[in-house]
Amino acid sequence: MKKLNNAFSLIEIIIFTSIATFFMIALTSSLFMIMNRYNSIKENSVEIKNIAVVIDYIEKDILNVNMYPHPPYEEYIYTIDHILFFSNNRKIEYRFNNDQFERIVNGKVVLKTAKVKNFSIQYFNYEDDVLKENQKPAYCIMEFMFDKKSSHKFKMRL
Amino acid sequence: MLKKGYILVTVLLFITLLSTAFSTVLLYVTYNFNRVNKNIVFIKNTEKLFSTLEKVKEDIALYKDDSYTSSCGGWIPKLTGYDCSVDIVPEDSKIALNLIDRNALKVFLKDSKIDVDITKTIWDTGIIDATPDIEKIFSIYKVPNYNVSDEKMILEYYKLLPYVTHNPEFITDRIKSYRTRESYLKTDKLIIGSDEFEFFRSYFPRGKEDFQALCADYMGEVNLNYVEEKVFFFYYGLVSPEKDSQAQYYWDKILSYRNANKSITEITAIFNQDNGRFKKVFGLDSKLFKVSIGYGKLRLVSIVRVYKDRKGINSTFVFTNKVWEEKYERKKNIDIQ
Repeated sequence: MKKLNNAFSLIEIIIFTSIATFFMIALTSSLFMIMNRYNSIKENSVEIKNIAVVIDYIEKDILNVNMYPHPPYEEYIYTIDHILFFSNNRKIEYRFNNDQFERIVNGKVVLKTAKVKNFSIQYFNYEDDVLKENQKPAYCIMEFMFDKKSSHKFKMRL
Repeated sequence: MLKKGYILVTVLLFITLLSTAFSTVLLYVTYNFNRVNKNIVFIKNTEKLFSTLEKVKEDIALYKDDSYTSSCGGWIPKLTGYDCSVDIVPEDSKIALNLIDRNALKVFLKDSKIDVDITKTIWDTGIIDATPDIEKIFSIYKVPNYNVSDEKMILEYYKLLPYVTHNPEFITDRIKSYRTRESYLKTDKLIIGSDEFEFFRSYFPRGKEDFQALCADYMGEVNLNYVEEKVFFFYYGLVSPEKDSQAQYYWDKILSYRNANKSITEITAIFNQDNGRFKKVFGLDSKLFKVSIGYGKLRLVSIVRVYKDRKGINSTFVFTNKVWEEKYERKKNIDIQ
């Protein structure tokens, strides 16, 4: 008599259940991994976008700086973490305040970001020496630190 | 034998889940990187503009004294061989708005019915940006001419320059000492000649004495080959005696050269013998240029000055730069209308 195979045997059930469990675990863990990667990619892309926005503003300010004619030197501010200069006939300020970088245009804060981790400026005279007291700067080098690895240096004529 | 497997719905669900997750990530990344990409393109294009400017500066510096005049148009020949569109116009054949005698300027503005507020400070560029017609006549980038410019304005000018380290009042006091007579503009000679001009070098920082040639002049910088009618009449009136009525005669002479498509190569060709007074203001070459370079939608405008160092080698210096995207400019124009 031909044997009918209407039901699974015990071994088959054990094998299929363990395979199914393995797949379920694999599926959920891979989903978790995807979600984690997704979040980190999302964060990174937003971070890079924010940095791009900051660089975008800085580039446009630096390219259009009022070299000559420019306002009297009394109106400028030259300190290590605060600079006031004129670009496109607008008063521009870069300041590092409470661990946040601020870009102020004509007295209004236009950009405030914690993406810039550190910001420092060095001033030079026409002899390419670091600026002494009571001297007028010829140019400055601004260093923007975006994270521990990447920093950007911008040279700006004043 | 029957093959066992996942049912179609489960497989589809799984694939959809995966593809949705991946495409969302991709969308997010591309959305955010679009800004980055724009920024990279902007930086790349501006680099191209500035590298072209460097080439233009080298080419301009190649032209020696008095060779700026050409048979066509009356100044340096058209420079070719650039990837970008390059347009070079002399900037010094205009009235030095910030440096010229205030009283003479007031009379000129009244006569020609031009509305410019000259009480504004030297750095107020807004007064020029207003209308292109005014920009044709006035320049805010011209350097002082020791024989023509107002002493007070020269002092204000030097206070704004970072490379005059000594007290700039020394320079203006010395200029004053040469200008014994009040009518220094009307004298028939150069009060400050080449020897006197050399002396001023000592007021500039050691090693940077060549800046003297960069930010000052004593001879005429208004290029007769390029000068506008209003500018010519203004400068002529500035240096000639009050009863002089030869201006129209000289202007017709200049026009005859232009109509014949010839350039003026000697100042005596226009002003016969008594050219001493005119040498103060008029010349035959240009040293200050407005260079505008276009690449795609980006445009760079630079004011470049050519000057000679002590060894007689031409050097160039950029006074100011301006970069903008033309679509914004068009929008701005529409707003004004």
